[in-house]
Amino acid sequence: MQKLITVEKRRSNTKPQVSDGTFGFLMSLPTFVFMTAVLVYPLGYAFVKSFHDFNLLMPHRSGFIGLGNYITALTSREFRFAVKNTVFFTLVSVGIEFVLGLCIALMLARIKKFRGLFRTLLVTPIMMAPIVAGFMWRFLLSDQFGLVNHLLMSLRLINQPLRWLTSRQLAMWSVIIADVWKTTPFMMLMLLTGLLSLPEEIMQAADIDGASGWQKFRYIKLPLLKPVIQVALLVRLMDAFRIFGMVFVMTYGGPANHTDTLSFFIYRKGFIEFEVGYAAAAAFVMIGLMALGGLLLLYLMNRGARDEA
Amino acid sequence: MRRREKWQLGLVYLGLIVAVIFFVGPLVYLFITSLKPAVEVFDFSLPSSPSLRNYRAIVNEYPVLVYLCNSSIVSLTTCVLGVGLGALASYAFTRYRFRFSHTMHYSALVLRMLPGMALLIPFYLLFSKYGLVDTKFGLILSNTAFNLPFVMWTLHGFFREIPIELEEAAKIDGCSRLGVLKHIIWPLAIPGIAVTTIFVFINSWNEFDFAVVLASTDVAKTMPVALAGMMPEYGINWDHLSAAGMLYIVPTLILTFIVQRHLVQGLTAGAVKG
Repeated sequence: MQKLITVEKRRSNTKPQVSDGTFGFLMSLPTFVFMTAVLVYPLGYAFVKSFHDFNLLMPHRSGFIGLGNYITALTSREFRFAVKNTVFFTLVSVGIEFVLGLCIALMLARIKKFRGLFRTLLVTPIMMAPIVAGFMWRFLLSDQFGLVNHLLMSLRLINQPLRWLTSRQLAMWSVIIADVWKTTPFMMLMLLTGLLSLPEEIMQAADIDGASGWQKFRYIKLPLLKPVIQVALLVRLMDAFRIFGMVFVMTYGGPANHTDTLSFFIYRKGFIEFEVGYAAAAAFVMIGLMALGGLLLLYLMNRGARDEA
Repeated sequence: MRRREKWQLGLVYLGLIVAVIFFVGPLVYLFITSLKPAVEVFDFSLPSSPSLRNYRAIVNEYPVLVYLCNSSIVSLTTCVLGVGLGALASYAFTRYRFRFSHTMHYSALVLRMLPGMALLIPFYLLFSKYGLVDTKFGLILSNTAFNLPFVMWTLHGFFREIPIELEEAAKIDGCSRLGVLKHIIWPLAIPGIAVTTIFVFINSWNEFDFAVVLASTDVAKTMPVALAGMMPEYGINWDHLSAAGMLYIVPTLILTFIVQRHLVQGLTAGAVKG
């Protein structure tokens, strides 16, 4: 013990032996090594495999086939259907979540009494596992005995139970409902935080100038909220595009692949049909699509910003 | 004028109540179902004699405690490893400039955006090579790797708030860099580290995409994978399933309540330009 203390003392009085840069590098080294070994290396490994004909059940049938897997993916109707489903799901659910979240945030910003209580209640689903949101809505939406059908029928909105999870038209909407339930609170919370941090003076000035509620919203709040909206949309779009767990428990991609999203497609190819090389290629196409979508989004947002300036 | 405003305010409260019913109602309904006997599950009423028999059944008849235990071990170890490694790196990236420090910091963001499926395929192949499939250790590795970028960016937000003058003053007084870490940074960073740890815990507690492939036997199977396997087509009914689901989400609900002030930070780590 004594010895340790003297060592520390001596060190602190002399110049440090390593430079600040080296010290920082040493601190981040474990993380760097870990991430290289467990993220970067596997990713590279998958990239190499995506150029191979590689099936886990048929080890003899493996070899380099260049862009073969990519060509198969891009030309297959099944893959393009999964892309279409994923894009549809992403745009519709994030769209609904945004509008709904904005409405609730505006309402919460309006009230003074019980705001904290409402906020606490409304964020309940925010950290819920997708798997729970999925199985809970599967229960609520089940055809014969589900609560949703029961309510709709007792309100006389429908005459016979809707086949939410098993009909081709409704299955994707069921997944969207579950996703809206789970992630609208996130949108709401982001927008509420943004709304509450708007400077009070601007609103007062607008009141004095006699701006209507709609004018205040359209020409003051919305432009000021833009940075928050951008972050919220970017985070949610990226997330929705990867949807997997909810589909897995609610519809398992069915009926007839009508809820087959890209993640689920890759899962099916890789771990049910064991076409690992093909699945890896599909995964890289998916990454490419996400990158393209992200760049497009950033471009649109920047262009919007320039127009306003 | 005043009357119109009152009306408006009334409508706003009404809207909020409808919203609460939509967002909280389903969970309440699930809870009520978990207290019902099997025959009443599809009666739209309160249970005639509420009881915990479903909870007893789920614990006695299925290895649910094993799955919850697996989930806990995996999540807690991920917290220790992920926050431990990530905190060091995050502090280094916040305070020190060195070669590639920017590249490393931002590539972590890119890795965070990757779809899990792109990693799951090589994880499965490499893990089967090294005997890590169906082990808790394999899950811990994959969860830690996936959470590290998150930890680095969340803590970056907290470390940035600590004024650099404090550190400089301590250094002038003769404190070493490690001394600064121990005596200045650590006490100030505890709240941020606690919040980050809770988020990492929830992330790995909820993690399903990796676990469904990497943990299919009881040695490593976590609760979400078990729940997905308990769907009604396998002969397990909603009365039991709802009880299992409630057991699984209680920790999440409590932790969400604890960190509710920090939800925005935790859910957008790195997306807000720092």
